[in-house]
Amino acid sequence: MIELTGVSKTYEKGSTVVRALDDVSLRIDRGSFVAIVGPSGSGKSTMMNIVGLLDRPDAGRYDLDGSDVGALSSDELAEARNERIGFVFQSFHLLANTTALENVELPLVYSNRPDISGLGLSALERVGLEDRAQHTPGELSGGQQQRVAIARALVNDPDLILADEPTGNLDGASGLEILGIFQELNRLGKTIVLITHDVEVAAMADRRVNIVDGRVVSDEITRGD
Amino acid sequence: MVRSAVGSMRRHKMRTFLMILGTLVGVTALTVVVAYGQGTQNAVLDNFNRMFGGSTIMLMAGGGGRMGGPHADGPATTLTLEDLAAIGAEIPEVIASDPIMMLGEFDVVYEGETKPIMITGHSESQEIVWDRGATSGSYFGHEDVERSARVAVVGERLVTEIFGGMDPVGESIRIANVPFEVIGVLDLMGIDPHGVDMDREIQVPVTTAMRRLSNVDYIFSAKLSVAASANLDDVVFRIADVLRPRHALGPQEPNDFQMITPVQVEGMIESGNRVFTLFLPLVAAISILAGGIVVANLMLMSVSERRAEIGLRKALGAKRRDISAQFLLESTAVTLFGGLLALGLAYVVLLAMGGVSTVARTMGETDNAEAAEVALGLPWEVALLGVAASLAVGLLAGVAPARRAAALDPVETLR
Ligand SMILES: Nc1ncnc2c1ncn2[C@@H]1O[C@H](COP(=O)(O)OP(=O)(O)OP(=O)(O)O)[C@@H](O)[C@H]1O
Ligand SMILES: [Mg+2]
Repeated sequence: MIELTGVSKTYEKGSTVVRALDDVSLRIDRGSFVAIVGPSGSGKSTMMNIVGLLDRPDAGRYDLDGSDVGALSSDELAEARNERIGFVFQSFHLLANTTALENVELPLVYSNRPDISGLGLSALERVGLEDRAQHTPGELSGGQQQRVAIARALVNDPDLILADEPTGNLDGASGLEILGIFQELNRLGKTIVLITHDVEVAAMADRRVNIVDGRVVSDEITRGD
Repeated sequence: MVRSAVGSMRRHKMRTFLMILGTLVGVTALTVVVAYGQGTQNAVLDNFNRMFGGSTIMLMAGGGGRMGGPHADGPATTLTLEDLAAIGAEIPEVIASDPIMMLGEFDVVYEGETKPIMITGHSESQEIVWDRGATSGSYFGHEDVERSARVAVVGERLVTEIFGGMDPVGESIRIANVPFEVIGVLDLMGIDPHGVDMDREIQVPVTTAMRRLSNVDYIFSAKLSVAASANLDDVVFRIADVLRPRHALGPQEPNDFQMITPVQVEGMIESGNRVFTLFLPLVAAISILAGGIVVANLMLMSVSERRAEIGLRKALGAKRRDISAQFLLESTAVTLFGGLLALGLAYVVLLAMGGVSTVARTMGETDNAEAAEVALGLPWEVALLGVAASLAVGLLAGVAPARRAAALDPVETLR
């Protein structure tokens, strides 16, 4: 469970101060599927970085699964990212000239798990790409690349998947395929936080949080369970 | 971790190649220079030890600076066979003494063909003092020295050069128009420290050299064998005490002879070899340093090119030390690989140098092929030094890039 309380993040750009997040309080329950929407520059990615433990807020408090992460060291944050969070990025961020399987296994390099054999392949199976295990990103379509990235996010079996514009670089059909995977993962119990510009994409989620100028302006349930 | 380092090397072939090249040049230079310097110095020392080693004293006519032999202002004429006899009689620790007349090149005629050959006069003691006998025939004896016999013992290389490969024992030659009989072929000796090929000389009895070939009554120098139990410095003083009154030197007059002991000779060689032990290693160290700077810069380049990868790895759970370990491992693996290649290259270079290097040949052991090995092997401790140097380059050159990589902020790099 994610709980942000009065979280702010400001950037100084020369003389102007940008309030990327301004006193945001938000609670995301375990197992929910939330879409974060808002115009460009409204602070969505800033929020994802904080929720994903990649960045720390200037003010406010963040509790993940009931404990304050502000107290964690950067190594502990790295460990928490590795074990508890899966990331999916707009531009995939796969290593070039590296096979799909090796890309998927990358988080396992930094994992403390004793037995990691076969995890990479079974993650690829979950996104239906086991037959592309030895292909490099250059040999895969955009949709397939993003599926590899999702498999990488799943390989350590985290509870939380954070996706920043995962369909932004994809055509409509591939985008729908990706969203289908997210829905499936959510049905299996994963918490999904999806950042998007796209209203249609947001409609796939159970809940839509609208951010403007670093503030939450609306928060609505779009689909009752 | 190792696999990902290897993977990254595969992905960045050009950069990896340049890093390997940087290490290769430096480590090759280092190992070649050190192995070559060590090899030649050992060979020079071996050679000197064989010639002047053990308990021996070189006694030379002439005071400081004026050595025996033909000089611009005339040869030093102070040392005689009688001096040697007196030394032998008064100092029992001097076991044997070999008088030496280095006459330089004379025209040697065999069956109408003339060649300039080094002629040296010795006594029968040469066999003991230099430990050099005859492979075919025999060395001349006391009798031959007594009666200034016209007999000659020839160096091994002259067998082919003058006698067309056949055994020359019993053949007649003319040295400076004086007829000689060849009675033996000398043991192989190699090339002396001054670069003289001792297998191209002809040895004749010292008295023959004095009376028949140069008409003088003095000798140039002598090599004395001293009992192993004797104190060399003490013997040197006592020789001076024997010679000074014989040469009628007043108390204020300096010696008109010089003595050199193996200890002094070794010191001379070592200082002569500073170029190998100090200067060339310095050059090699600089090329290693240059290699290290190349590697460090390429690694820094690698870090800035791979910011996104580093950020991604951090997002996926890599800690600072994982990232720095990765870059250190990469730089070390590359330089170690370069270092191993360098050892192979150094070995080949050392072998090749054996064929052309006069220095290496100067080191000549008794036989030339063996000599090449003495000077040109890659000793394991030098190879180890090469490996250590390449590891050190990798680690030191990797530190700054690794720190920079570990400090990158994933939020910045993933944008
Ligand atoms: N490192 C930074 N330095 C300065 N300003 C920053 C930095 N990161 C973000 N900002 C600013 O903070 C604000 C929020 O940025 P953020 O990336 O969170 O927006 P976003 O909602 O994700 O936009 P987009 O939809 O275009 O991705 C923007 O005004 C941006 O310019
Ligand atoms: Mg964004």
